[in-house]
Amino acid sequence: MTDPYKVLGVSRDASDEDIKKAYRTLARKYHPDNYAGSDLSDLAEERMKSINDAYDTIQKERAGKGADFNSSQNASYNAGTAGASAAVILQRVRELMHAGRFAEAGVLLDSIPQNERNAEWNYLKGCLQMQRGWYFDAQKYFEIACYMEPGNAEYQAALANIKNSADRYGKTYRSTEGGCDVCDLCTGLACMNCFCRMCGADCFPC
Amino acid sequence: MFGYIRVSADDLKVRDYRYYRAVYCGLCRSMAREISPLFALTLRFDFVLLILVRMSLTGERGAIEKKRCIIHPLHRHPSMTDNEELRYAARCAAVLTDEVVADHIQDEKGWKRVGYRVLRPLTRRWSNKAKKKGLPAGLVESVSEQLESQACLEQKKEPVPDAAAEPFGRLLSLLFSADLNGENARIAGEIGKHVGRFIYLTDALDDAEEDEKNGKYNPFVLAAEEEKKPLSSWLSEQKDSILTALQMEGVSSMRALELSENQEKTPARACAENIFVCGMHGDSVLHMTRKERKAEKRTMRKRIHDGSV
Repeated sequence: MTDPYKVLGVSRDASDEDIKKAYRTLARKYHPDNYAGSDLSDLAEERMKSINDAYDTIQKERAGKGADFNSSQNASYNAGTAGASAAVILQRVRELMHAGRFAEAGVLLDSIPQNERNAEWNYLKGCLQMQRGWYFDAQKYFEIACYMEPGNAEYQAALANIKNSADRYGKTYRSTEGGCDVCDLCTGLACMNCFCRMCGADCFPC
Repeated sequence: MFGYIRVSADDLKVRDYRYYRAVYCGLCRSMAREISPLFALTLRFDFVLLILVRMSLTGERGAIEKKRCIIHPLHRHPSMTDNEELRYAARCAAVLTDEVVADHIQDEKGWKRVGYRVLRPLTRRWSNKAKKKGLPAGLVESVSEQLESQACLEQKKEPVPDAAAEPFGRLLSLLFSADLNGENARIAGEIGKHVGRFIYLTDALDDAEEDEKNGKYNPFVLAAEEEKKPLSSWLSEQKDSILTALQMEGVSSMRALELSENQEKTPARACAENIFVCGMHGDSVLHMTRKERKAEKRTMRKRIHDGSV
């Protein structure tokens, strides 16, 4: 395998910030949108993949090494700069899912270490499980996402969606129930008569 | 493992229900003729669904005639005339029954195990007979491949119920889609996958408490253990999610069927839709005891035989 540092064009002793920057520049360059409809799109994808792989390898390597790195990774997605790397990967995962490349998205998503898995990670994981038909698992991840970030409408919509679609079919299938039949008409007339009498106008005098 | 899929007679038109009974009766006859009269006693509702899905995709209706049978000699019942789909389902049932018995010999202990051992030569004979009568090329091999990967997962003690259900989903996907072509094969495969997953998950859920007691593999028991909660409280906590997940398997099957090019509302299709929407949910497993469920199944069988509502 090629040297991941070479792929990203950084030296071995580059700081985490520099690596992130290099990754982002390259990712922007090879972004699939730039090559949409071009004959070279497959090539661009290949590049993108090698960048992603290189970035992941470096991340994993460094995560294993220093305690200080780990502690900085614990910072939440919104708060610290450390979370930004995860955000880039998550963005990439969304793009892959959008393009229908679910297997790759799954691999990339799982490459994020445990301690960096935020609400969005859980949400995306839930979406992937949904797509595979793993509905029980999907709900679990959506619930975690909602729990970690209670105000997020996207996560709540996903959780509500799975519950709704389970219910909806049963309701439309039995939609013949309800409605108005002859008995309802009679009851309605009787009730109307009662109310009319209150004001002195009797529809059916008796 | 089988018997969790049921039709809801209350939600069917009378003629569609008659059709369902005819398929059920026809399958029983086909099993007796193809394999052995004794084998017909293992008749299950699940394989009726296999026939219904395949027939609604191909648009084939099959002929129905009135016939007498040994169990009900006094009345003549609607019964589907033997056709390729019925024979296929009967053969599949024979192969799977043998595999399930083999599986039980591995898992069970004590007298039950002895019982299954005694039964095995018989089921093996049925299975061999079915294979000799002809199944689509490569089907038997891929079925045993999936069963092997399931055994593998069980040995690995897979704690995610959805992951544990995968091989059985693939297995039914193979059975449903065999010998169909193009889009129909894909749709049938998708339906089979969800039906298989539903059956596996429902079965696991049903056995959870017993498996915990006997120390047997069960993904739900392991999932509860992983969260360090006693099984019963974990189950009641997760009840809603489990019910939704099980119902989604039916919904996904329904969605797949809706993609079919052949949108004609045949009786077979009406029955299949009824099963996906009303017959595939976990309510019966979560809310009824085993004894109640057995009684319910008995009444249902009787209803299907007698045609009473």
